[in-house]
Amino acid sequence: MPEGFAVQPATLASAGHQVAVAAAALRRLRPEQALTAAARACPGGHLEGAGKAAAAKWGKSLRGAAGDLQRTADALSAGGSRYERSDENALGRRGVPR
Amino acid sequence: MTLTKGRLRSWRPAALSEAAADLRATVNAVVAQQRALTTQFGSRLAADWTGGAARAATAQGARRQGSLAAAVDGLGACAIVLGAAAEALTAAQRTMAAAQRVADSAGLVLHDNGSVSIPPALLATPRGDSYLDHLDKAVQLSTALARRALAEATEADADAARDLGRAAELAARARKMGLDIAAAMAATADGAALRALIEAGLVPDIRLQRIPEAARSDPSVAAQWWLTLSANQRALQIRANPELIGGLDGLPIQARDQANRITLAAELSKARADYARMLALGVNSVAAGQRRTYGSAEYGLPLQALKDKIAMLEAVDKQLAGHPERRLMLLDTDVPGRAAIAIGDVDHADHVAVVVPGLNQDVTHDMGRIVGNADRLNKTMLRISAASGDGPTATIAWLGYRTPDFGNVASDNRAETGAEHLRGDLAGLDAWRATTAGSGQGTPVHLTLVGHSYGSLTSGIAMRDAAPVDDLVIIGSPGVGVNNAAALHGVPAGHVYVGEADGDRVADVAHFGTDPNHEAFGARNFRTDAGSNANGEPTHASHGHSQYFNMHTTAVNNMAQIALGHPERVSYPLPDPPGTPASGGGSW
Repeated sequence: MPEGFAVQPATLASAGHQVAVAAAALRRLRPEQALTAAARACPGGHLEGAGKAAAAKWGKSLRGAAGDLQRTADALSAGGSRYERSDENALGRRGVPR
Repeated sequence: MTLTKGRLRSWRPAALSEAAADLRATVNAVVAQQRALTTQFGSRLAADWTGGAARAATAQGARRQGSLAAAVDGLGACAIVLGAAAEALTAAQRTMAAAQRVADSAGLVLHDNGSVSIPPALLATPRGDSYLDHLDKAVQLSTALARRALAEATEADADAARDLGRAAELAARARKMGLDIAAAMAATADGAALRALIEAGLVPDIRLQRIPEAARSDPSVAAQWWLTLSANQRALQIRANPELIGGLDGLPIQARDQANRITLAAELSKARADYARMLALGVNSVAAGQRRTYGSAEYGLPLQALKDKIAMLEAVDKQLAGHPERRLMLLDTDVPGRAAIAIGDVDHADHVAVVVPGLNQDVTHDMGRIVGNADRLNKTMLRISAASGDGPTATIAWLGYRTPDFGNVASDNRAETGAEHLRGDLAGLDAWRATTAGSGQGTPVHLTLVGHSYGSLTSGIAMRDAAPVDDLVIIGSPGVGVNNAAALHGVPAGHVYVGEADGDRVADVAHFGTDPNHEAFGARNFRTDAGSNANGEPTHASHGHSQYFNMHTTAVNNMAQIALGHPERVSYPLPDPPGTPASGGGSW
């Protein structure tokens, strides 16, 4: 048996599901709202511009992290289902999305 | 951008605080997901998955966790920056409000750009020199305050904007250095996260200066150092080092108050949590509720110790809640604790009186009464000042030493130790006011020390050496440790005042030197019996040892006049008729 098969397909699928849950939780976070509120608290100041810039950066950054995590979750789940259909370790052959 | 009074007023520091709190919640949520990933890629998959796919997945999991760690670090830094900016802008708004109050009280106009002008109507009728002096002083003070407020707010705004921009860089560096801000943020305290940043060597990025060693022992150095900091730097110092800043003589009371409140909240929260945990463990063997002799062998039983600590901290908290005019000037959280609560704006008041209590007083049981005494004295000062234009006033309820109980009251050991603390705090008050006055940002203060009972001994010992006190008031005194007022070198000659109420037996014991009420001591006796104030309104007599601070008494009225620098308005006893034999203390 190839070495990767020591893991149960259901374990990979479950891990994929859990990582997807984490990705969904991250997608729900809105740091940009707090930073935008901070920007609005000081109209006309330097903080207004900096707060807006930070809001754009961190909102995008966190959603990017969530997206990356979702792709990892998808790969794990896909790996689980492939294990069930093949003796090839799909993740090992293809690698995982970067 | 040029900041104006109107724009500063429109800013909402509270919204920045809320944003900081929201970001902390976001950080905690990200930390939770980070932990979930650790579980998935660590214990679950790594245990029984090997080979190329496993290695690829583990590497990717590490990268995902790394990006979340960067988010935690960066957003945590943003929260710290916004929290510090909120405090700095709040302070600036308070300073501007003080400028406005000074201007309003003198009928001046404070303009949007921070300049102050005198309306022509004020000068339309000829006035005396004293009025013009008063006006000139008000113009200078309100201008200085307004300029400081605008400068501090401008700096806070610029600092925060720059530091928000640096947060991303900060995050990358923090991750590289293996900084575990996640753990610090999990404690939810900004101070903890900031300390983590300090330990990681990232502090220069958010401009936290090292506290000079000399500032810890010399209030003048501390005051000078504080003046060099921007509002943001001050706010960060307060958050990073609350225990140190809260007790640092020479710093403004406003800053010490903020720091001490952080310590108070943290210690109270910790003590309550510890207490709950111990109860849950079934550790409950000590009878509760009895008043204890601290420092005795029995003290130290954990549960009782925690209960005592909670009670002590709650007693302080109770005196602050609902009283925005009060400031926590000093807090020592080791039971039985030490505390000093200021009533009024000590940093800007023209006249400040420090009230030192005596025998058998502790924070837990007596803080309320001591604050009440100081509060009544301040109310009396304010009432007089409102009529005579003596300017803003403040008092301090100073329980900054461990007072003796009946077992060791005969010794002056506690007074000696207390005097050392008292000298430090007085020097600190004076240093900040003198330093700000010297730099054109404030005015010097008229400082009066009021020692009651054993507190008069503590005050007397503190005044043996040079001190910044302008007037000393001794009431209900068993002696002040010297036999003559001239030996109190910390007080100018002729500025030692003594009051003794009818029936106050403590004031006659003369246990610690000559009875200060005796003529030979050389102080100025003031009346405590029924009489009238400078306006001819009747005032009541004080009786016994504990009525000196009662409202509308001759005693409190006289003390207020002394503290306002008006010895000519104090009521003194009439001289004895010729031929009357000397009768020792209490000759009137």
